[in-house]
Amino acid sequence: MRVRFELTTRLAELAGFRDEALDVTGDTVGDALRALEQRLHGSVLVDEGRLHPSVLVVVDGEVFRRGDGSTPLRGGETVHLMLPVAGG
Amino acid sequence: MSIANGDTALATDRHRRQKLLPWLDAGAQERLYGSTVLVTRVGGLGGPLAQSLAVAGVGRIVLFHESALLDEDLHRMILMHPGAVGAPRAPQAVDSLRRLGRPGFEVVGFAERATPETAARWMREADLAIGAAPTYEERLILNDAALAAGKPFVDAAMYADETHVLCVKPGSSACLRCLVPQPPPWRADFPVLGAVSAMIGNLAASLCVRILAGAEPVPWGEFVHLDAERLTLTRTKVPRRPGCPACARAGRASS
Repeated sequence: MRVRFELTTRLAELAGFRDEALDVTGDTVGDALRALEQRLHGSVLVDEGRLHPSVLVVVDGEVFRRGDGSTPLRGGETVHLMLPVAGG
Repeated sequence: MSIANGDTALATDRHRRQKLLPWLDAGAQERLYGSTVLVTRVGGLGGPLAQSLAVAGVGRIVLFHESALLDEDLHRMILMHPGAVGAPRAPQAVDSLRRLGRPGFEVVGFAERATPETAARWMREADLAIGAAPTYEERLILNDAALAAGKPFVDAAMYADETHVLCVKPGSSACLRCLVPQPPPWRADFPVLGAVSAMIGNLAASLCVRILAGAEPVPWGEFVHLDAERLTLTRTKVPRRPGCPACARAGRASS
């Protein structure tokens, strides 16, 4: 299954892309996040294999609540990951 | 420059043109004149923000901004004086803002970081708090103090070409702590173009004026992301986080 990821700010810097379609093993939002967590493995925004809890996850315009990892995906969705920043 | 006869009356009401806005009538302008805002940091983002609030007629600005001016600040910190490198930033910002405000406009500046104690003290008098600091911690301090006082909070931030703003309605919308339950690792020397930090500062200022004027709509609880490179704007309603301690205090403040 392919899912399109759109990343903001430091997430994009660390992943090396702003938007890109990635292959996901599985068929849930949790599986999609794992694909990205593997891509960002070892970065400051992944701790013990999990994305930082302040990353806002939006799937086709709907905010994804952590703990709803079993929410199904069909493929073709856009997963938008936004990291609030603090530049002022 | 001289003012032609007949234009003199027009020149006596500084805010006549903004009162032509349908949501900013004379009563709303009076609310602005009587308002106090609390802002943490008046640098590349908070400086233009505070500048726009001063000229719009906000009655009092209370600002916190620690440390001394660096030469490398001057590409974005428009309230600072190029001849005052090495001097504390807060007095320079106070001086610049005082020149812009109407008679009676007041600026109170502190050359230090806001703390939970100082923020709580000033939130008793403030109508609105604004987060414009280059750290999550200072932003969260103002978020928490505003909610505990039952007052709105506006957070505006940027990184390179990406910017965002969040307007918090205590006890109703999600707050900054709902969005940022724990501060992510941060890069203090974040990339910044003054035009971009000023852009989001001014968007936030326009929302602050709406809030102080009592105007709607305000994008309460929405993560408004504005990308100056791609020229896109997205609005995402942030859900309130169950168990958020700041929202819990807001509930107690409003009950």
